[in-house]
Amino acid sequence: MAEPFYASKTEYVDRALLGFARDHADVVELSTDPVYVRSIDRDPRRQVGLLSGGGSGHEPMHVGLVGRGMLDAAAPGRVFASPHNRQVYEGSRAAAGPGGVLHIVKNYTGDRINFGIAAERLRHDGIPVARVLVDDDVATESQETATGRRGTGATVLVEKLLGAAADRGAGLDELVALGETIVGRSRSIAVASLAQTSPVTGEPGFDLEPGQLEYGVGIHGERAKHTIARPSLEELVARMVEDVVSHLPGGRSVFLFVNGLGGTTYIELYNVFAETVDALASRDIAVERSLVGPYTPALDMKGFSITMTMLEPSVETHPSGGWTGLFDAPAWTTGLRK
Amino acid sequence: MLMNLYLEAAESAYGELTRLDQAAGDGDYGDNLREGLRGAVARIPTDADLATEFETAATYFLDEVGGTSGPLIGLLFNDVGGSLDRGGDGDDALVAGLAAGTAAISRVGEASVGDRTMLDCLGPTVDDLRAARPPVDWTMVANQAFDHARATSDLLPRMGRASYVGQRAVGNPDAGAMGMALLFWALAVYRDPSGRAQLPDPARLL
Repeated sequence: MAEPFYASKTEYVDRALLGFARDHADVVELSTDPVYVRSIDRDPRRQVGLLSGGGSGHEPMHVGLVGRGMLDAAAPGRVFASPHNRQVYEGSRAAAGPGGVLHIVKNYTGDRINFGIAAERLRHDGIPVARVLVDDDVATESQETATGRRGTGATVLVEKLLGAAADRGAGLDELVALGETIVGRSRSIAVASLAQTSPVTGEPGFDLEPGQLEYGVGIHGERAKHTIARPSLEELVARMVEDVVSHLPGGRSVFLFVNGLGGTTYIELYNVFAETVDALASRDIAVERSLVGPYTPALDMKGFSITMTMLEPSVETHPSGGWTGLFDAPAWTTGLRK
Repeated sequence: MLMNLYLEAAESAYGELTRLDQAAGDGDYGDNLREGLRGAVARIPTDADLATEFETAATYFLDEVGGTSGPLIGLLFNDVGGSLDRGGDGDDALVAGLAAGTAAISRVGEASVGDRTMLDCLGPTVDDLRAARPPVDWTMVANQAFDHARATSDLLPRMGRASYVGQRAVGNPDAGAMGMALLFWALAVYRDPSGRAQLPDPARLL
């Protein structure tokens, strides 16, 4: 039992957002009715506003990725719950540029429907709107259900790359096409050794015996299909790399994102990262760019995820600088700066 | 006022709608529809035209009503209100708005006719309306809408919360489809009060 430090049992997300906006008043501003966070600065070349959102508990995603170079606005729901369509709708109206607004949506039924309702309202108002759906989690790839793969860590990479493209003046159609290509070349897998603490009960979200790992865990405390005996880190990473690479198109270089799930130290994450770089090298896959840190946690879950985006040589040698150029482009958010 | 009539129908059918939704979902459909219509009626000015009725109800359902069905009904109203606002309150604009709203629900819910949702009443009833020669016989259309809603009894749920109970939902009509039949009941009484006796009683849906 480790009760969280909340000012209130029910309003803790709102309270945190107030504190966040106060702390980062130079980057964001907060709307409280309905609740959304908006960037106070944007590149003047940007034609299309970018908005994302989803359940809280994954900070810095998404409110911490609002700022010049990435998101124009984010709509946070309650912990692990979709935002209301009105948050997405009003946030989109605030974020839209002359070329409209792009929604970056993780693949969960509630998010799809609430962003979809907001999109219909925006179209009704004459604001061009489109969606990029992120579905990268290979643990949920199944022929049996129509719900498809969950959206997880790849969302951070999609938001970084699309933000840079939007800053170059890309239009809505161009951003959708780029976003769908990036998503199609990005996959993830996550493991956990301890569940997150429930904000309601203060108890672990699920029980796990010592020496066991949830292999393919979700970012909302959804249990994995498999609980495995804990192998060495080298063996674990080799298995995860195999699972991700086997779901990606072929290629020789990747963006590598090692994400902490909230209860994992940087020492651990950099151990994971070093092992992953070696595992990829043994497959003759180079790590072109990397990101390491808890950017998409699940509250305080002890675990990590590995996300890779497979690059295309023909894109990378393009005079525009390819996706690497987008990765390196400036960004000034509270959670990610370049 | 149209929304008063729809509220009257939803109040009468509240028990049946709740029972149907409890059998397949979480049982809040009757509450959401009734609360949404109560809120809408309280906000509609007494001298409102039909477009204003739909637009006021749309905002309330979209912003304030819970569940997934509430905001989806708001989407339907939004398109009907917009169409009436542009095209006047005749049947052409009404049918065009109902068709646009039905398409919007299908897009957003990523569902089609046959999935055992509100679309199984809306879709075929909009088809009936498009096929009908003017002037529209709203009493007949509403009776057909009830037939379409009742026919969901045979359908296996694929979308929405009812999909979690699968085969166990079969045998009763879908609450969401029945809620849409009640909208056509209200439209029929609104357009032609004399046809009321030829319509099903909302208090006895089954």
